[in-house]
Amino acid sequence: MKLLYLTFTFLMIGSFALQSQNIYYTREARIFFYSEAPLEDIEAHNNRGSSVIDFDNCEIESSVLIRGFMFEKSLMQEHFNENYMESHKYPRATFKGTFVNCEEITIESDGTYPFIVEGELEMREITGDVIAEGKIVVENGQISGTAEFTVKVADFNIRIPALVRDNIAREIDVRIEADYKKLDR
Amino acid sequence: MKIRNLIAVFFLIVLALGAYVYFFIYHKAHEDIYTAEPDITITAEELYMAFQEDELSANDTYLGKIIRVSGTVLEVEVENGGEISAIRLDVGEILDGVVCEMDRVYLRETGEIQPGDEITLQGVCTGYLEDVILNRCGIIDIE
Repeated sequence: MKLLYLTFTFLMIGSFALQSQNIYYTREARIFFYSEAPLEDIEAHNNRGSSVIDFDNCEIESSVLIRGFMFEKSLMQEHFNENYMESHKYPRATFKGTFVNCEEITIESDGTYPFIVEGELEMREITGDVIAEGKIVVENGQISGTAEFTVKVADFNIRIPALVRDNIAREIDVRIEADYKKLDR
Repeated sequence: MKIRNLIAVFFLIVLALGAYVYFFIYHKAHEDIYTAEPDITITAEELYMAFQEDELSANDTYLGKIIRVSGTVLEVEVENGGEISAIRLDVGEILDGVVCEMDRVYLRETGEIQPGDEITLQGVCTGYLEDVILNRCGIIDIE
């Protein structure tokens, strides 16, 4: 089992990067989401997002544990996990995408590089298309990034009871911030 | 007269119930993980192995539970202000292990922690994503 796991880990990195020299990763991506609704604004954050960017193949993959999202209100966190996301059944969300304007992101030079990523978000064993906008910032050779996208609650079979319909938005705004490290080979 | 009194009492009861629901249910405070009794006490290696061997089964056993985990500090993640944001425990692997994200709801003194310290932490298991990740962690003991 250990061998299988190790193989899988290297395959995951390898699948990006048979030739790639430019792979950056983090396990501390900060993920925030906001729901603005007539009765209530809800926000939650997660500090342990995992993210890998292959700048040669222009691909990004990010994953996060649903249970890691923290809410100000305990009750909301319970409902989020038990009723809306059913995180005991579907513990993760994963995003995979490609940079549309990859050639413009030259990480060898310091600068701010806006980008658009087209990809798919998988949650609750459902996959939906997502377009994210953001920027990569290279400063003193250090790479960090931010991205934003919206998630349509209905697309992921998340059922909001009529009673709380005015408490939860139909579209959730998601923001990711991450400081990346280079994967040494 | 009597009916009016009854109605007044009725409204008072409704008001009291409303206040109870509002303060104790809707706005109930997050559980203080640090002072709670742990659901499971385990070593970092055992916890990691459980998820490695059978993630589905480990999710059933550990997800959402308060875990008291002991192990050796591999790495301490520190924020800009110097506060410890997370502690990584050694499970004998190069890349992966058990990570405890420290509690921000109930902040506690963390003091000096060095790689190699034997430590016992308590937090909530959030699952397995390369590492077994716990959050809302507090330090129970350091050697």
